[in-house]
Amino acid sequence: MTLGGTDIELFSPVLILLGSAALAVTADLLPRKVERGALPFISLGGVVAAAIALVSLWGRNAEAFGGSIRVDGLAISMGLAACAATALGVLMSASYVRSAGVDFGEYYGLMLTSASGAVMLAQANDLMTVFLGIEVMSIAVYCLTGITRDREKSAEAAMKYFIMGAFSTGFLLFGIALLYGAVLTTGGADGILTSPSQLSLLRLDALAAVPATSPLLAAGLALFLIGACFKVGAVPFHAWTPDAYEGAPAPVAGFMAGAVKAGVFALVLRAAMVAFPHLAVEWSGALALVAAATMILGNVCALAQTNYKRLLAYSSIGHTGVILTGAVVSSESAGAASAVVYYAVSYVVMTAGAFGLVSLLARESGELEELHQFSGLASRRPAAAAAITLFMASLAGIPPTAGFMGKFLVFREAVSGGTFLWLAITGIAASIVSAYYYLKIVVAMYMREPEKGEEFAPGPDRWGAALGIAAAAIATLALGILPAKILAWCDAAIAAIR
Amino acid sequence: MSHSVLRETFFVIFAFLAIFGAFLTVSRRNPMYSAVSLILFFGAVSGVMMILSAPFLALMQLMVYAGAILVLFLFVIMLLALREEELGEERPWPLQLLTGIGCAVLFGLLAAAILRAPSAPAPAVGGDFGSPAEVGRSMFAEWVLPFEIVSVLILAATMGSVVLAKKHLDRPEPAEEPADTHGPGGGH
Repeated sequence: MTLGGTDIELFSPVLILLGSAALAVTADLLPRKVERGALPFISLGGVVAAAIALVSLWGRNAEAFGGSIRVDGLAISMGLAACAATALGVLMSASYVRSAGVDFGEYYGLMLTSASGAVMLAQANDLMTVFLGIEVMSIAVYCLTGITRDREKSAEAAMKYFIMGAFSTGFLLFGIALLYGAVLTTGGADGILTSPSQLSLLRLDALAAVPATSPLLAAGLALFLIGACFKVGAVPFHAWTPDAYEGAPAPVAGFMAGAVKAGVFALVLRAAMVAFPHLAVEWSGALALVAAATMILGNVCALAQTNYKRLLAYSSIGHTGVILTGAVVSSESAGAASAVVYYAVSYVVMTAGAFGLVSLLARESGELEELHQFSGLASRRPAAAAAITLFMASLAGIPPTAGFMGKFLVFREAVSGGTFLWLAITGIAASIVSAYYYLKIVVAMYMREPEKGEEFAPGPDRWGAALGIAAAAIATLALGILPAKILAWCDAAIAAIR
Repeated sequence: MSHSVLRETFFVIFAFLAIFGAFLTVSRRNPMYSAVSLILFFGAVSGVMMILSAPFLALMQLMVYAGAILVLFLFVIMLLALREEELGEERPWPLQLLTGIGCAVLFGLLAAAILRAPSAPAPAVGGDFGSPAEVGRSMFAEWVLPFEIVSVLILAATMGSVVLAKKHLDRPEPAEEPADTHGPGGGH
């Protein structure tokens, strides 16, 4: 294999993110005061540059590094979703991390490294890169979860997340080994000596050539899906999610909810379309059950939550179910895959905004996270309350927001496809249930009196969080009001793969 | 005894040793015993690699895992000096039984899938397969991208562990919660 400029060009978004991560870490050499001010800008600059690199690759449909990396519409759109989650995460972090005492270069370095893993995962075209992308993304997120380690919840969350994550990696890796075995034992082995490289045996599209009857392929697919479901927190592999989201610093929770999902769902869609089209009935049937359980359990458990971040964690489980529904339906309808991309982008902005409010309202004494603390917020902080209302409406799926359009697109595809009509009905019912707990917060903010001693005084220097929330709010509205243009992009992104 | 029978015999021996070592690793309550059982597992796996004509990898496995990493594990466990009561409660037996049954079912399903797979003869490899030169060539030519990404992965893990273990948190108002700095994750 010879490497050329094209390889580097196609891989440049990942390289830019890694470069800016290195810059952020070495900024420790600057005087402390300069470093503090510079870190968010270095990180934001890196993310924006990576996003520009991704956009400049738009329309390309090419492979790099001997086929390990594939740059196409799916990779670019999900990569951009991950970049959006990272940019919002950096903005939300800017002032939050200072009051938490963790505003050093490694914080941003880990976030950017994790983002590079997510973008890599969206581009991954063979099982080796898939595995490494997932690991780069996850390891950095485990560390970020526990970075405020003097808070007991944060340390506990990181430990749980790490152990469950490592466990799920075991499933994924064993699945990959079986899939490799499936390729080797059927036909792949004949070509091993003539094949240009061993790497080509790990390619996702090599799996499509394995007969559907191969027991190794079925077992590998099952373990592979279990690993992916663990990473996005789908029921019954969701147990780590509430603890991890509650314990993680708020900007990290918003970042990981968006970026990790963007990366893993890019992988799920790519695997569904490129690697396992001949097993569509099997995987879509299994994932449909998972999706239904995820939507029901996520939204029902959220009803009982009294902690804002924990509530958002269960809500994220519910949303994972909706995105999974889209992935399931993509087995029979081409439109569903672009609906998944649309939903992923919408989810990134609205969830970053929802977690961002915690960063904005965080005080020196800790985060504002119990729901009763939100009582009467509207009279003291009208703008913040309005932003929370917008994000809650979007998460609940109320028009004219991104969340409504996303759910509408996914469920429309499910209804028109026919096979998964029951899944659409389950999802719509679950969304109606979810409206209760989202609106409960809005009611508390607008219709209750503030609690005694609750001043909602603005924290010092919250420009970053304010800017991030404003950006997320504008994006949430824009995706809801003007979906046609963005949906056309999503369609174009997916069209090249089929 | 023919060459292939000998190879299969050794494979079965090493495979059983590996499974036995792995089982001991997860079933011992004392982490010291677990770590020592892990040596057995690593050694057996390196034996399997030797049978698969990858002597260089087998040697690396022994040196890096059974040697360096395991010694590190043992040092950490010794430094922690866990007492009996710190090891935590043993799980109730119904839970242990349930876990065991779950593992057995999963094992059975996977074994069934693997046994039912068509058994193709292992593809022949070149004469210098597994030699240091060949490993180096494939690592830095064909597998260069994964190799570089692994280094990023290790860098991220290093960064994370340094931050989690060493970096002191400079909260603006430590006066409010003075006990905070001695929380889990510990001092610096």
